[in-house]
Amino acid sequence: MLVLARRVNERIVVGGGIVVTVLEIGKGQVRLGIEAPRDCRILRGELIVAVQDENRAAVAGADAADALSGLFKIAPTAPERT
Amino acid sequence: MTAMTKELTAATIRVKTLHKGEVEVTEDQLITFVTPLLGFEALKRFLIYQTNTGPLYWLQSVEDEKAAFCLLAPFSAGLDPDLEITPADVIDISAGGSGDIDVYTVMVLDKDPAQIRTNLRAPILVGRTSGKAKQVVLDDQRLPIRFFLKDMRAV
Repeated sequence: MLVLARRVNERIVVGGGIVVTVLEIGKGQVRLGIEAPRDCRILRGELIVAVQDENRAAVAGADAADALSGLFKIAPTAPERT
Repeated sequence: MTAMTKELTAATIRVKTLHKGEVEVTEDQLITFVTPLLGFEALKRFLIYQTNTGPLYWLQSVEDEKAAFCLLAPFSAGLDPDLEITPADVIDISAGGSGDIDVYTVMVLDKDPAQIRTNLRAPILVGRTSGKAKQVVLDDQRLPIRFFLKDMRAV
């Protein structure tokens, strides 16, 4: 990890296309301005963690199909055994 | 063994699935995540299959039989979320355009029907012809991570 100190109005340029400007430094909080190509999604880190957690909660057990009964008028199907 | 059966043997893969036991599939029936399913970074190859007709699918890891998920095809289910797929997404999964992409959302199943939900914020995109997939996290606060299906009529 690269660690660097920046003052207000100073910038960091990432990969040529992304510019991060320190706009304001408050108590325990920093306000950043980010310029990036439209294609480049900028997300808060917590959102990624929330999606990881939701994916982990989504792991389906063997009885998962039972939970589907009634959804979209689908009857539960017994697992086929081979 | 003839040359032809040899070729078939080489091309098929056995996958242990949650609902269909062990199935034999060909390489081109599998999908490959080019950027990982979040929280499951070690897993790359999956099989998508259905046990019913309808908008629900199963996403089964080839590498870990316990990693199985229920997916929803939101548009077939009557949901019409506004999902912004970027040109970079299309390139990432080697799709010919947004019409060449299948969209799924991850379901969380629960014994309590009120808890059954799907993640509209982070859909899975699959290139129909390439078989390449990625889960995108969209920068749109109107899309809930937990969209409860009991609220579907509200959409």
